[in-house]
Amino acid sequence: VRGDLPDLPELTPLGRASASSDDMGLVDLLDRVLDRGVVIVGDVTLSIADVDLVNLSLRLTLTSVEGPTRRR
Amino acid sequence: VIHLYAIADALVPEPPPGIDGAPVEQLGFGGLVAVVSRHQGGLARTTEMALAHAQVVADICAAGSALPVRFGSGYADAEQLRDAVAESEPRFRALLERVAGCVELGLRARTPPSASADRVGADDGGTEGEGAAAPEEGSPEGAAQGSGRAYLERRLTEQRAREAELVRSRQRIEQAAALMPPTREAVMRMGRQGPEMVFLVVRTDVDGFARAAGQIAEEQQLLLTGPWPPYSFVEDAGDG
Repeated sequence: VRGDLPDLPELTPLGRASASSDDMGLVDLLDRVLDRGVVIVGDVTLSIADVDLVNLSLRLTLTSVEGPTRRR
Repeated sequence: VIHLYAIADALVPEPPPGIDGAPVEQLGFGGLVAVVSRHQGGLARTTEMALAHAQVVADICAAGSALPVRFGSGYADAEQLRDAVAESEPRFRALLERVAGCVELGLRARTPPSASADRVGADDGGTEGEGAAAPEEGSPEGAAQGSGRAYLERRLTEQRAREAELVRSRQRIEQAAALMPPTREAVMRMGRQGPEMVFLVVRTDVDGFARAAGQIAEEQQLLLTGPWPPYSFVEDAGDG
């Protein structure tokens, strides 16, 4: 992956993975959407264990996942 | 289940479709608006869903000023959501003010420091001989004891290397960030890719900042990412 890194990452509209973005942008996006952002304390909010589950599947599927924009 | 994307202080004009094309609804609670969609039985906790959530959040934050909500907030009904929002209303108001009209950009190492520190540890072959000398065939306990000390020493070496690497990485990022144009806020935090400086940048300044900061990042062999919705600036208690 490292060899493919562009010198300057493409700046994309508001957190979207761009068509040319690589896994790096994806990791940064997932970092935000899973670990940052507003958390509201509520009974149904995912527990830590659930989020860890997401992380786990993230590792497994990271290479095969397409950026959201590409799906459009 | 009601899935929550964002909290806004006004209706978001032309909200995007939600996950799986579900219509996005905007529920007004007091002076706040919860941007949600409804789904049968909740959403799967997968990477794909997290990315779909991120996409909708990005579109909402592009359409108006809103607080991006972390993936995974689901509520049984509107009443439960209203109670949850009401409880945090002062915090949300403070955060909305903090990030109004802003996006965030991130500055981090191109290679996660922990990964390179792991390599340093793995290359340190000195401890392996001791571990290899110990094993007694068919006696896993003896082998474990013999290699235990070497293992712990190796782990300690690895951990020290990792910490040193993190400190170096943080310093490099701070030094580069000091050269960049001023932003509304800049905060150092720990991300999955190691230390990261996150910048809160007024939308209209993003192009200029990204150009200047991107150049510096490139010179310093760092990675500038974004712009993103201001995920990194909405998680504290907003006491500012």
